[in-house]
Amino acid sequence: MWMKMKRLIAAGTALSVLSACVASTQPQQNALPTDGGQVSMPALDQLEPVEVNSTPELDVNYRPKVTTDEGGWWMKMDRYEESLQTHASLVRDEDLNAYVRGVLCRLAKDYCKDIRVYVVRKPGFNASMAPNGLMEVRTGLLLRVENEAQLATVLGHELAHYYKLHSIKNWRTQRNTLDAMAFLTLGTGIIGLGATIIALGGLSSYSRSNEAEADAVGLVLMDQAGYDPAEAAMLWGKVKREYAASKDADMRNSFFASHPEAQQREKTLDNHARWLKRNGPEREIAQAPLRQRLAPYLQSFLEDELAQGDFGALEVVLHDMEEAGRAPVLVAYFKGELYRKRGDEGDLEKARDSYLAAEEYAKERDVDAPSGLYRALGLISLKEGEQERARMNFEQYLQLAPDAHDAAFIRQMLEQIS
Amino acid sequence: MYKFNTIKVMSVLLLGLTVAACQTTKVHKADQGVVQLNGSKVLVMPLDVELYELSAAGANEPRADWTQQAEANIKQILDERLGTYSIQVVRSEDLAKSEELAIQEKRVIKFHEVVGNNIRYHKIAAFNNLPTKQDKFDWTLAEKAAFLRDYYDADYALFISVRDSYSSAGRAAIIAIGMVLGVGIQGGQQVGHASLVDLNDGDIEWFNFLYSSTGDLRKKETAPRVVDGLLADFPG
Repeated sequence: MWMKMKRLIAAGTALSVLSACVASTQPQQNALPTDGGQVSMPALDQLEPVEVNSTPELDVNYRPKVTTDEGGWWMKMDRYEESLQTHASLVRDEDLNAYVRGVLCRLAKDYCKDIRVYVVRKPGFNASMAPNGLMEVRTGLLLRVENEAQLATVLGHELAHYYKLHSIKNWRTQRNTLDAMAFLTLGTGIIGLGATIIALGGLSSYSRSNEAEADAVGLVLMDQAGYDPAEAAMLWGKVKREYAASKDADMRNSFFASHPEAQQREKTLDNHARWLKRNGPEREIAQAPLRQRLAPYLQSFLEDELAQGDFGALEVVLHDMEEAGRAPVLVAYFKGELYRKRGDEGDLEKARDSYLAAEEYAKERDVDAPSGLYRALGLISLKEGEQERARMNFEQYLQLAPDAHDAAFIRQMLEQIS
Repeated sequence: MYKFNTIKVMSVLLLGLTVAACQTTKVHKADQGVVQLNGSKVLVMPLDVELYELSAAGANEPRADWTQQAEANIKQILDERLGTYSIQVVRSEDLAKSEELAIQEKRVIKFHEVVGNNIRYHKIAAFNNLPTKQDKFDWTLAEKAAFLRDYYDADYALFISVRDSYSSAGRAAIIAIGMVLGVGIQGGQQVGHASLVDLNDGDIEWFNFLYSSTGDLRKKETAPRVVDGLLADFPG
């Protein structure tokens, strides 16, 4: 048993040093507004002045001494990084990597060469920063950002964790608090347990203050790089709505939440952005470049999200993409997939309408729809007793994807129809 | 990702209440019988060694300097010990390789780690035995290791993995207070395994698990005992 426990602890500590991410700990559900997440904006003269020290606490080319706790974690994370480099989920696509790296370098300037960004094929909105300069960005995050400024929001936040040495500071606080608790527990028995719980709350709030600092420094970095810092609050608002709709919505625990309260965070980001912009020039949102560079990957990113089975969250993501006029064929197709898989009352009709819309958009634009569209339309037609339409759709499917894993199955269905 | 959950904290505290025995090794050999290494070429894979400092509460803090010392010590003693067998020894680290081969090698090391951990959890830990593997030892990397034979022309591969921890001053104090109170508290410990893989069929021919609460890999004087423990009953 102790072996397992040791492994658990090792895993736990390794994870916690992979510092704080953008939004892994979600806001409490009942703290959410019902008006779609709009925050009332203060007038310019009501802005609170913001002072942020964005100076990095480490030099370019920094490397800690091997005899220190920091050196130990760098070694550990260097090894993790080596392992990540051979991992199957690493996205090796040069164009995508170059794009993300380009945005990072615009923010990090001289520090750019100290940071390695890894794009990891994983659904969900998340990114993380390790103390040694290893940054992980999930493809699920790339799917959710609507413009380059929003991508810069996340990269800037992670970069701020690196600049401010948050990982190692978190570790030290965690270690020292646990140590104090160990003495208390040993010395006072049950009273120690109470101290444990209080100390844990203390750790959370320490972590929250790191997150708030990363938000603030990240915003300054964005601003200095010429990105519109107002996009940070926009992005957070989006993520907040998604969490509210997620199936994991009620699994949250606000006491241990390490990320600033949802409402507060959005307000703070907004105030800060307006303060930075109060008399400066126009900043860039850079929507077109991001859309253009990410377009080839959206289908695979959406497939990964769909496989998660978190329909509530995906519905929000697709809704936002639809509102923004992104990839209409894909969005309509994946809405169809979502409703078909969810199978709630009335979902079959919704699915059919979405698939038909996808087909129509594809025709209008003279582009290929995902092959799965025709399989889905075939299955729905069959269910509705429309044999001829089912046949046409299945044939179209096999023509587009002759080597699909279920091609034999569909051929058999075709035989049964005729 | 910086989540602090109660279970994790409680496990750290609970770990402090476990006390283990002093030193044991446990050897398992493949069912087909004892291998004969005479004249074989044995490929030594990169060592997987990490040393930690145990905080007062029992959390493991990685130590880069100790790890470097231990790696150097193990490497030296391993060379000496393997030199006494009638086998040809090559070290993967000394050999030039393409980037693709390097990636493949790292993957097979990871794979072996998974298999090795399963052996530890399901074979070494007797209470956790898998029903289908009660009386046999037939763990294998199957065809996954064959490229090592093809590329290096080697017959066997030797994998070595060690995790080792040492008490910090705080931990030592906790242990001392525990002794006064009559509570046994775990100090540092060494856990490792050495594993010999037949590159022809991927079978693990010999697997030695080591557990020890004494012995110091950081020091030249004490490290040989650990390596000898790891090589106990090595079929050379």
